Amino acid sequence: MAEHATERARFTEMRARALTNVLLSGREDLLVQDQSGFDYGIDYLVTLLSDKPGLRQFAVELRATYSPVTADTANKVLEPALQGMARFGPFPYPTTLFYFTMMEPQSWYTWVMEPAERSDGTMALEMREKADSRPLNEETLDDIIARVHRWYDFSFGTKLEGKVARPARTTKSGAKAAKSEVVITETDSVTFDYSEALLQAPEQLAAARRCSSYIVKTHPNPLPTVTGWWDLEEDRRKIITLMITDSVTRKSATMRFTLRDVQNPGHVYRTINEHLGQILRPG
Amino acid sequence: MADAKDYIGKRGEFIVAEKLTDFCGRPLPFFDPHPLGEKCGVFDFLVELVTNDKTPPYFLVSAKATRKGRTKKSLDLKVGVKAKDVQAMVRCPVPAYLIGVDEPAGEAYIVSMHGNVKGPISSIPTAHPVNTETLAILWAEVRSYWKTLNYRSKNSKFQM
Repeated sequence: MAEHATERARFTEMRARALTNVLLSGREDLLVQDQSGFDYGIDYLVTLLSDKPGLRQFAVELRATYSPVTADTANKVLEPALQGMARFGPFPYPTTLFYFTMMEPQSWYTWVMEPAERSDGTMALEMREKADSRPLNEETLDDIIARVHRWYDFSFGTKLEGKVARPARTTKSGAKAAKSEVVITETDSVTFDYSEALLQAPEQLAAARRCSSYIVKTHPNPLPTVTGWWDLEEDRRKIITLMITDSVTRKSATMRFTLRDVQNPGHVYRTINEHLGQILRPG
Repeated sequence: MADAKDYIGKRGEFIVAEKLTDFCGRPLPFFDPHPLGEKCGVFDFLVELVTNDKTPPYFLVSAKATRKGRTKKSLDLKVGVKAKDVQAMVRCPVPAYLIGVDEPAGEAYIVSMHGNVKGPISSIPTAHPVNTETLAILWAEVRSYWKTLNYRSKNSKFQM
């Protein structure tokens, strides 16, 4: 019986992935990266391919169940899932949770990190701890993507009559928000430099530069006091190191990556995030 | 152009995986598909039957997606398979199937690759859409094949 339940769970997850792949691949303007191998609270990182400025991404987490559910039931069932995600969050990009059922074609989604339009005309990314399940299909995926674009339009200052608008800090008001963060892209963010050894290694250098750009564009906060130094290890030149230093706390941390690691900017970004807290903390 | 072809091919594989993992109202789905990756030239999936058998029977699937639609007269799906790939599939001692995917419609159609088919193939019949009924027949057909293990008796309800 237990074995049957385990098997069912495995097939349920497999089918949820298959349904997600079909749904997301129905739009040619999405680049989907499977993140389920990493334990960061999301299953897919989706990049929006468009002529609009900036790196525009949103995340998808999957949940699935065997039996059919109503929206109300989904809301109750997903509450622990959202609370679990809150432990990984806040996320630097809009984040949704897809909820599939095996016994009927109806699927649901709810925002986890929602681009919320506020009464003063600004937008904020708000983390939800209560689910608000809505049907998930091609039309509502269009809505999700339009919403994500609106967020980045606002965040990158490409709307609002040409004024460069910066997102406002969010507060716990109105809708139920667990905690919230905003994405701010600043030009005076963390700066990176590259060692002579790395400058002689074109493939590693290109990958490191892509990671630098990704980190600057993706990190939710400006980090003007942080510098990054990319280098190759002397004795094992296949290992790429990144030393980040904060000029205020005078703390630094060094991370080691393989070439494969740095070809995945998301991975480098997450690794950096793990170390930033400790180098920015005074004392 | 190559990008568009890659995209359609990948989406075709997603659609096939989705069809094969359908629970069809049962406690478990009929099939457990394993993608073979890009390095496997002819086949895209090794598909195990979900059974209580000690060694699950399996078959191989080549997925071909198209946006070309159907032929005018016979309404066959216009999917192209090179002669050498057809021969590789037909010679395969394991049950082998071609699943054609009408990508814009999200529909898939299955044919068996055995017998005197030599190819190349430019279209396949759409008599067997991949749905609950077809999946049940396919499951029984593959299981039956592995029970007898007689290559010469290889036969299929999904003949071209």
